[in-house]
Amino acid sequence: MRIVIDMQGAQTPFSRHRGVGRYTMGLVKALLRNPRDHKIYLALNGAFQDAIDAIRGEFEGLLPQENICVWQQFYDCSAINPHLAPGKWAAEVSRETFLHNLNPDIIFSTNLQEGWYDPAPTSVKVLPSRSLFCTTLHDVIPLVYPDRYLASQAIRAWYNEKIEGVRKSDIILTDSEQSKNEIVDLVGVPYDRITVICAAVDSLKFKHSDIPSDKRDALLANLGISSPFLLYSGGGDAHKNLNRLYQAFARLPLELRKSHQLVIVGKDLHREQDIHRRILKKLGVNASVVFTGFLDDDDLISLYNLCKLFVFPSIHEGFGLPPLEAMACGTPVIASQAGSLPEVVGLNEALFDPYDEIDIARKMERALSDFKFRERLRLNGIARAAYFSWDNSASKLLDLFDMAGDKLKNNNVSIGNERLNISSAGALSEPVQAVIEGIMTNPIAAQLKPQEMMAIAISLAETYSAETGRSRKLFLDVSSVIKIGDYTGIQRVVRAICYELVNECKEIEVVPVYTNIDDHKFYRAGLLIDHILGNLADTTKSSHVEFCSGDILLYLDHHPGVAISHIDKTRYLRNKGVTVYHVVYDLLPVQCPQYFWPGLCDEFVTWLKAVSYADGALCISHAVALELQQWLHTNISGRKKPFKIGWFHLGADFENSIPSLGIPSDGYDTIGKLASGSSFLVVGTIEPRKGQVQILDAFEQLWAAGVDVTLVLVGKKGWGMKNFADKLLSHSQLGNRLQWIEEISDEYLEKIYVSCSCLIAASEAEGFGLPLIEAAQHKLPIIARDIPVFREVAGDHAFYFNGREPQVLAEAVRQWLELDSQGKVPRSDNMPRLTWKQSAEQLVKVVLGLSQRGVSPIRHSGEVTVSQ
Amino acid sequence: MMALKNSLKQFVKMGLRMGLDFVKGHPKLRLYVTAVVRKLGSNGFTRFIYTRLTMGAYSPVINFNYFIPKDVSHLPPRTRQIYLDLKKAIEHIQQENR
Repeated sequence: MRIVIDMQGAQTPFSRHRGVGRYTMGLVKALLRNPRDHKIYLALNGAFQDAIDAIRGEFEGLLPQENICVWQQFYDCSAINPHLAPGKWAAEVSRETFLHNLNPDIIFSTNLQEGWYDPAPTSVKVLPSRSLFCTTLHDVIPLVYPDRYLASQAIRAWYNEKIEGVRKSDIILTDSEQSKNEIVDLVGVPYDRITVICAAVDSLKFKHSDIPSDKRDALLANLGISSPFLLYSGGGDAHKNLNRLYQAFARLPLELRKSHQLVIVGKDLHREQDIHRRILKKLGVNASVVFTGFLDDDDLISLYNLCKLFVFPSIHEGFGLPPLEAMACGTPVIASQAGSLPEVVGLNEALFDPYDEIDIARKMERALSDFKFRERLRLNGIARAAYFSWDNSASKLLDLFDMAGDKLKNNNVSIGNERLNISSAGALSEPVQAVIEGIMTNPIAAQLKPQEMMAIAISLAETYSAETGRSRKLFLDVSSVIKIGDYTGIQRVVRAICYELVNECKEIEVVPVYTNIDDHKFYRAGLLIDHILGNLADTTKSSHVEFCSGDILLYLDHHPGVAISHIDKTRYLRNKGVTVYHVVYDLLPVQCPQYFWPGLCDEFVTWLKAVSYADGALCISHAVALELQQWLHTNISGRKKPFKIGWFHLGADFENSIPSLGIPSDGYDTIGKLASGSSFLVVGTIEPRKGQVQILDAFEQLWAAGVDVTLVLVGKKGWGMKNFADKLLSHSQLGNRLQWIEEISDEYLEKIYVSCSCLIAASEAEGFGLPLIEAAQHKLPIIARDIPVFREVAGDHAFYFNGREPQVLAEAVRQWLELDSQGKVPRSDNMPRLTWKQSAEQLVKVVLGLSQRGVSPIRHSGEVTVSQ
Repeated sequence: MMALKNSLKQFVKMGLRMGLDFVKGHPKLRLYVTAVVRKLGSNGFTRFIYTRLTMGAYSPVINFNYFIPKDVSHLPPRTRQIYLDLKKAIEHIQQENR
């Protein structure tokens, strides 16, 4: 069967960190660990972006990412705002259409009571359905205390709508026998239509453990806990009965009260602690109570393990997960005898009357002072917690689904059909049309405002593709090439890779795209595509690009502004199921900031942080990949999913890099001069890190010593090199034994490579070192500085030097000349090098490899992984 | 008289909603107003205001405005088509309701 699970219970800010969120994640993970022969899909609401990333991270490895489907909803529909009722209706129709479009046999909603505060539509069968609806109703506390929880007409209407949804459900689940009985009594659902699927705790996480002293001290100090403490964790709703807990704490014998603190864990409680503190002040125990706010599981588990007693005084619960978590950690637990708590705690001795603060205080006192009693509580808790297991609950639920499947079969409904493609043909695809028609079935739609209609239209366009059976695409961002059009080294790489992939890539359709800093849309790079395909006139439009789940966006170009301004877009695309990678060419501005102006270094760090929002990065060498891994490890934390890093090498064949053409009129003379003697070529922008200053000084020494060599500098003047440029322009050897070619076409550069005797690569830091590959392609020997990336690229095929002094390099050139005269210089002919075709193939292989499987290092082009 | 009363009620409601939306759109102001409301105690009206203000804590994580252009002309062609179809269908209902 195909089971589609609506995960909003683990998404909404209201429920995500409460029992409902834990129930959703725990139960669904257990279902996925043993799904039998069912196909399970998770449906997520795109309105809750933060939760999507976390959920995708939690299910990594348990479920293929393509089984996590997102419907987009760019509008609020929370029921607390009655004026949003038309939008709420549209959202319900949109959600049900989306769920039906996944062709489910069963739609399982882990909590129907969403959508009061949050834009979380939950409805049952507002559209005709062939699927069975399974709904969890965790409790009916609002029906038990209507004056307290259903006082306003708006909330009463909303709640009744949810209860009606439960009645319409084919399978109704609840958490405890107590809740089941209440649902029968108050909702009027027959007893046999409700199944108890107990909540549980993750026994691998919630367990007794010795907290290391340094961790314990840091945590307690951070939270302001300085004495042995009693613990409460949970919500702050009225039925949680915290007032009586405070009163009971105040009634403890002075000695016990002074030697203990009461620690209250919970997000809402922290926010509303002013109100609580007012009560505590009146009771005279304010100083002994600590409100921690929301704690992540690690800290919460530590507190469970460190507390002396856990107290849960709620006057009503559908289940009561916090006491179970505490029991699983071996914490002595006392709890209210109301609601489902006796079922959970399972020990009469541990229960108290929640309406009687004297009884609560008496039980607290006994547990704090009677070691044997505490030990009994502890042992009971461990045994009782083991009784509840997500795997058992999931198995029971699957039994229920199997029985429901039999029922479907008997009704002649075909089971487990292949998935309907979300994409459909036509100007408006089928599901989009279905949503519009569905919305129209309720007169309230007439109240939709133009802005809401626009939001609905965008949501639908982003949820459903316009193309039928659309295959996945690899989008290459080439924004810098399109918008700026520089001829930098990086942009040469971009052109070459684009050329190869657009023409040759068989594995996936490749589309170059571009965007703007102030525009979050991407456009097809029509001009570039036409140029690559050799079209004389523009045949393709630079149309708006549509991303679908499964696509890959690779920021191939280096355009920091785009990456930084698109952090939200990157997050959105990832949540939608698009994989986003950046190409990282080097980390020089963070590794050698002295060679760059401060503004650039700051921007580069901001860019790297923006890169960290993606799924991963592709580096142009293994050395850069390791540097990036190290930088991320040091500077970025809190990622839910591992950041994947791959690497590939660049190509070098000019003819396939869409080369620029043209040789100046005096170019042939220059080429002739270079070919006639020993000439040393240096290729790269004139920059401090490239080592041109050391090279010129070294050659001045050589010239002064009468060594007849020519130095050719190719590259324009970069930042901070004005003095050096002035020196070059006024140099006595310029035009003679010193050549400086600032502007050069690829065609001319190729001729220069052919004419020279040796390449000098003196950079102190590089991302790759493309000139080395280009030199090797022209069989030009290489003198290179001994840095890791040059070793990676050139191996034993270069003559290396170390040191920043001119004489070191001058001596290296002398030695090289000596070896050359003996025919013993390292030859670059056999240096491993790639064509752009091979480079592009490597890139695609790594991109698809990173996207499809776990990472494992391989020798040549490969991946390293960073987990944070 | 009744109609006037209802109009006035609607007007006050709208003003209140706009005021609350404004306060919620300014985090510092919201903190300040929330603190003031808390100090006023917990009667029906202040409880209503307090709930509406703190509801921001549960508000959607996504920034809807980031994706919604101010004008229809900024919509991509397909989205504009969906919008126009939806609008046409709604206008049809509106006409039927008249």
